[in-house]
Amino acid sequence: MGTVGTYALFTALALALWGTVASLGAYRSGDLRLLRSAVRSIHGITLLTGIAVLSLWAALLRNDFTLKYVWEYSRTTQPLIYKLSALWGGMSGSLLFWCTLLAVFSSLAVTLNRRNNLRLLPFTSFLLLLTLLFFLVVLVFKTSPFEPLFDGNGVALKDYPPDALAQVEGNGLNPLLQNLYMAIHPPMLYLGYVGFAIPFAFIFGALAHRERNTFWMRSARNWAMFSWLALGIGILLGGFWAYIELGWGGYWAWDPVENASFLPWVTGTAFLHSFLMQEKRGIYRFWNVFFILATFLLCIYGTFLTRSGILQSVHAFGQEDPSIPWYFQLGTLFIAFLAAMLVLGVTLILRRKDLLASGQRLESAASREGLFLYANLLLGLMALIVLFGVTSPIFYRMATGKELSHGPEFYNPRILPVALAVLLVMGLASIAPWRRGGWEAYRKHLLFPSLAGASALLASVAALLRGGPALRSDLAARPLTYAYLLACIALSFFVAAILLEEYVRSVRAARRSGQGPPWALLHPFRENPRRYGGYLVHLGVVCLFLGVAFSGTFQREYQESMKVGDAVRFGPYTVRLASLGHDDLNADLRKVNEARVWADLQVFKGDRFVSLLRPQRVFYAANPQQPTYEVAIHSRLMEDFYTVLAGFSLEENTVVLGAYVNPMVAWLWLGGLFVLVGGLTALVPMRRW
Amino acid sequence: MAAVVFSLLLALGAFLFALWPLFGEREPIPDQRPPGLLKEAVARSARELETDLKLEKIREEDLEVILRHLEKESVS
Repeated sequence: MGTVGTYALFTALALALWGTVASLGAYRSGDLRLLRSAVRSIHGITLLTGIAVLSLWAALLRNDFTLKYVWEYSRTTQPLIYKLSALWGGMSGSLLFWCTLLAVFSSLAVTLNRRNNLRLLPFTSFLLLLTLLFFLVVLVFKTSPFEPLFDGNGVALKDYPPDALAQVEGNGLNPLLQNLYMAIHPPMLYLGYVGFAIPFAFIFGALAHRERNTFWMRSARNWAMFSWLALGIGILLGGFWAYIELGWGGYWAWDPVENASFLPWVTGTAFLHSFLMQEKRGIYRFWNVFFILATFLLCIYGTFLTRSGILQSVHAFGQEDPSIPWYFQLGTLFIAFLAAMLVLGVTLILRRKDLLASGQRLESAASREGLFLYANLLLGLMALIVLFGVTSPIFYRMATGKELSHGPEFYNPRILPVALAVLLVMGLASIAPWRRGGWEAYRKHLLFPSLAGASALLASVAALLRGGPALRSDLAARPLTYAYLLACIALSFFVAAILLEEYVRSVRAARRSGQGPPWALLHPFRENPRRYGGYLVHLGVVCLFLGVAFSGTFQREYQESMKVGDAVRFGPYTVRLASLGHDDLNADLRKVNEARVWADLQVFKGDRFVSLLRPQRVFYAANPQQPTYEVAIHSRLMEDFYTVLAGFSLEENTVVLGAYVNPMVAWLWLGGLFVLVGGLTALVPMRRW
Repeated sequence: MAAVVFSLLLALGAFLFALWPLFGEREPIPDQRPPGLLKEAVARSARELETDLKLEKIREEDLEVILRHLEKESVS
């Protein structure tokens, strides 16, 4: 398998090199033969990288420990799904997966656009092939998943006699990654990361070919929408994984690798909104090329941060060997590629600046166009803050040799005001009129949302004032946190009321035009799926804001030692430790992959029994010294009761139980659902149903 | 050995597939824009903006200015 995979990657690299030259030749000479050859090179790379992926999967499934990658990330007893997900469990496998996805997307994009956008394909193909070439160079010369494994004496394991080889066992996948959500979360992120390469290539392709028309935009927008959606869902799945797997009661810690995925999502959000303005009004062309270039570069930057091991993070899994010369380190290669793409993009922008001028000016600061501009500025500012937070520790370490890491204390005070301003603009932009604007539209349509926001604010203030002494002392200790909470509640209700009013207005308009109730209710999504799908996404964002605000402000943490039979209070909940159970911990983990210890808990709220929970610790063969957490959660819309088995003694029948009362965390996942449904509505219009 | 032969055949096939168009006659890349798509893109934007007219999100004279601009863009 290793031989086929290695040769497939070599051939793909040679094809990428040829395809890059051919596409550039087609761009300069306008020769259709060269373009066809370049496009066929992309298809060839797709086939070859696909064969490489299948080879690696086959090696993982067959426990072929003659390959270093298989030995490092798999073992005989590893469940099938984690043998398959081991493909993206390590650095070289995940880069192969990245490259294959890009090849598949590139093939799809050039095939779908071969008729309508043929004249844009030479430079578009050039950019895609250049990116493929970079990843293939890294895979072939730097970090191949098909590298053979050598023993301590320098003998390749493939030269072992079969009997000796049969005794070899792999390390196994990192236990933290042996989780169903971790099997789904990385591919979703990669779909997003890789997908943004397509609109980037099309937009810069259109720029290079001096194309001012808008007919190619639909394709670019759909790719961007798909990528944004996949990235967003991937980030949320990552948050869900952290919540249920890491056992610290939270879902987001401003970890550098989390931020690395958040960055292109923010600039991608700005791009999607700004791009609408280019389609409708022909404005913000410069913003769009800027944001798509930034999004693409940040996707590569995110991949670099995760793979290079340059940052300390629970997610980062690349560690460079210090004996390798600096110019051949993975980080240097990524920086060189980023710099090359940045120079190429900026040069093209400067050389085509005449095409980026819209020739129109902003007629009113209160118009829809104006609000979209504010959204661009705010989202750009948010991205800059996060980029500074992620990047400054790297420069700090280079300058001083000391480690620096930014956490919530850096991000929260800077991001929260900007995020709240984004929420306000998101609401106002929904009712803002086009072009000359005018305040009458605001006067007419802001009454109900303002009342909703003000009522929510007053009710929240009243609830805080009526709260007990503990709440009042917390309020005195953290006044700014509560100010943000109140602002978030007021703005969330304000925006939700705007969205509701907008929907009702559209349904009423449908009723006036004679549509019956069932069709009229669906009318907004059929008539303008992008806008009303977008409103569903905005509703999801409101849920996310509320979930983050409440869970961040009111989370309560407890830890108690208990004996079997004890009942202990954790805030509003009473927990009785019914029993402590375990698998055979003396069993050979190499044969069973994992062994568990669990506590059976009976949970009461007041006198009412609410749930049976079983938090666990799992000892994996891959790292038996560090058992992982399997938390148990009693989840309701308004509150989660989250339990974690922090410690245990089987001899004494005791446990140390950690518990968190997390308000409104479920709103995050509900918000994610709205984002998914809204995004799909905008992407696959109901008209086609 | 079989894996090496298979890989070499695969490489040969992939290169033949990619280079095959070069054996044809030289042709320029067609420069025409798809007229149907141009109209469709403008019509889609126009349709969405006309919905906004019903919802009082745009004045009639502003709509006309925007539609004129979109038409101009589509033929430039």
